[in-house]
Amino acid sequence: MDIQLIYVLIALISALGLLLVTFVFLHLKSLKEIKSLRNDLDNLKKVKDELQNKTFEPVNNQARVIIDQANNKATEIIQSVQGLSESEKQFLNKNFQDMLRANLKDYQLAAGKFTQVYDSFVSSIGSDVKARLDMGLAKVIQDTQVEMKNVILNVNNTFSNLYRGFDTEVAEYKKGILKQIDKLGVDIIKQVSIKVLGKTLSKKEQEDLVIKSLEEAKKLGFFE
Amino acid sequence: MQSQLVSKLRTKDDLDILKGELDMIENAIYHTDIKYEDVLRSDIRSWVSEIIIRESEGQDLGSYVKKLRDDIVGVPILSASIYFEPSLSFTETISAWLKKNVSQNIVIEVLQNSSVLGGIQLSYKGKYLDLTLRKKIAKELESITLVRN
Repeated sequence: MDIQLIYVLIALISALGLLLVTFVFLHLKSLKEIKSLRNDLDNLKKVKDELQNKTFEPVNNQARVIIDQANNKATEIIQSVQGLSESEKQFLNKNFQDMLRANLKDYQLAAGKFTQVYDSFVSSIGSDVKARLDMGLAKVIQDTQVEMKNVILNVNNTFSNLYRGFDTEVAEYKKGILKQIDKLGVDIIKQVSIKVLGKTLSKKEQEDLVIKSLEEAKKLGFFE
Repeated sequence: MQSQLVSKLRTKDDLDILKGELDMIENAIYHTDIKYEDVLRSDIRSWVSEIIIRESEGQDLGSYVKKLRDDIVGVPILSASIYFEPSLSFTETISAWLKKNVSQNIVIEVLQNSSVLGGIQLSYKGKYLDLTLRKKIAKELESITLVRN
């Protein structure tokens, strides 16, 4: 065999070997990147779960607590009242709205905490993954806003219902008093008159009241 | 000319009694077995018979009674419910006030009703007016403002 042919074969084998080593090296490097991506994915899932379980769920739970607290507080206020004047209605309304605003502020703080955790997380990952998560966040924010609107709507509806019920209750109460007067007749009127007039009327006062009433009737044009 | 009897009526009772007396007189006039002079002397209140005799002098008694009956049909009656049983003097006070301020011929029917508490409940010529203390108190209760606990 020609010595030159042998050199050529050796060169080809060396080149093939180098290619093989390069291929193996690149393959190993690729495996490492895959492993790194898998780790990233695992981390992503872990943080996602953390966001879901530690941040977003508590926010949702808090929303439910707000509704309960609002309902309880409204019930407490309503139950503590026997009747309402216009100014007392305003007081009740302001009290309730203040309480509602305070609770919603807490809700917004919790929602803000969620955003901070999210921002911290996305700053450490690749732009393509971040883009996908941004879309997810938009959905989360949208859901949160819907949830908040529902909270406000539920609380306002609850308040309106309680308030309406209370108006009816007051009207029924007053009607009940008048009905009771009709039922009990003279006795209760006497009692009320003593409270209203501070005394019972003497015969002379009764007679004067009759004449005074006749004069009032005349002024009203009753006899014309 | 209207009889003096009409202006002397104070209450619905007075009116009813006078109607009864006129019935007796008319009965005596149209039944020959009863002498109306006897009725006027024995069955009719003296002051009433005096006025009837005086006013009917020189005219037919039957026509006089008929006109008198027509007059009292038109007498306005005021029904009034008050808290207490009125004394005679107070009834006269009311009547005097009505004759002075409303009509010389008006008569009053006083009904005692303790539920009115005070003031007066009036019914007159188909109209009704409640000026009682009961009504005023009920109105106060209606607009009552209840207090918070």
